[in-house]
Amino acid sequence: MKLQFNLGAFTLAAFTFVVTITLGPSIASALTAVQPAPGLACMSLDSQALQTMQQSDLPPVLAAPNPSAARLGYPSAIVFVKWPLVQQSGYTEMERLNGQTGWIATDHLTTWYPLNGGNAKCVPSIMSDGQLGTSIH
Amino acid sequence: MEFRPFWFRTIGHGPLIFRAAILLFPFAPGWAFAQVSATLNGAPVQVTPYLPEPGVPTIAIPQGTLNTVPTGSGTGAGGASGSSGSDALDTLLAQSWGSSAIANAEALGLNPSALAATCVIESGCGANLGSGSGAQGDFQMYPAAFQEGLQTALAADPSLASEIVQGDAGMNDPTTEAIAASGYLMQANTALESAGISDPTVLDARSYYNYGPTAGTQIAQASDGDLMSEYVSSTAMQANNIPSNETVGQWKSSVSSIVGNAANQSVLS
Repeated sequence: MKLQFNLGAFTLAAFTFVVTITLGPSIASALTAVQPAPGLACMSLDSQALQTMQQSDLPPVLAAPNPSAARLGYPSAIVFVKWPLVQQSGYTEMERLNGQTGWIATDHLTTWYPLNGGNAKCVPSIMSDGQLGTSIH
Repeated sequence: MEFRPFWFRTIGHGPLIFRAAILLFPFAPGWAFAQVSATLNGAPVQVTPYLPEPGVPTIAIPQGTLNTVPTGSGTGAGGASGSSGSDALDTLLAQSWGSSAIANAEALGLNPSALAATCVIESGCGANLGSGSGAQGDFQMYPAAFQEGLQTALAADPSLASEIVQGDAGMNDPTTEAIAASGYLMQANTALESAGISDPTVLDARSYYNYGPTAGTQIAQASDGDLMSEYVSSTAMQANNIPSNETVGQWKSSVSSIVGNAANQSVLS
């Protein structure tokens, strides 16, 4: 009988500990640059592309440097181009945020500049989530 | 009869470590009291006899494992597989139209917490409705975004047509606007994935919502220490009341402080 009682207490204690799951305060997981991504440089989309609110209006990222190539997706504001530049048939080789290589029409690219007009430098970086991202210095 | 306080009677003569743990439990730091609901997938811990009883067959009962379940699932609307609970979901569930909004979001494959987060941040799910601007309803959608979202949702699930209020009145019908907002979140998810972001989060979708397909997708992968003003035009900064010295991390934290633990969940269920 005593054994049963102890096992009951043991079960109660174990259940209490297992069911009680502690949670920390809900905060966004910080995204930081782990290291520069070698062989890449930042360029901006042209001003017209930057202002669009429809992604389908952006120049597509293609699988090959020709307009009939498969569309991989669309660029974000900053385009990570291969450095030194690789250009072919009016397209520039680039890397998407997921690391996939693609091509984008060269005439939609311009030198990167911070939108606040400062003197910062854009560094393509491997981020703490393992994907590509930006770090502005 | 020996007197024992209630807690001693409850704990009995169990192993010292467990008695101590239970007694100290109420004095743990505040964060230790945060709990999530859980179900047991299978049988609870079984008492295993030391010696087999003659003539009784040996029966093995596999011990169950714990499943956490969405908070606020008591209405029966938030417990579908793949959906995730959140503080924001509780707020949405408290609305008279919340259950149907969640069911519709789930039918579209959307994480209902993503929809709930949008509702909470836009209007506190109706508690802080603004007036005067072009944005309307609990999800504060502009007419163009409302129409886009509605078309996306209906294309994905035509059966939702029976639940919508037609015309401009739909923008102020919470069920209709929730369907449109769900469709718009699906658009945001597609756009973020098209930019190369795998498994976009609610926070990523928020960035897309506020800053569009170029800056919005870029901020999702920007370092927390960078200034928002380096990525976002001054016009967009002013429109969203972002101070010029605010960092990406500060902006993300401010959004997270409003939508709670939904922020880092996936947009899709």
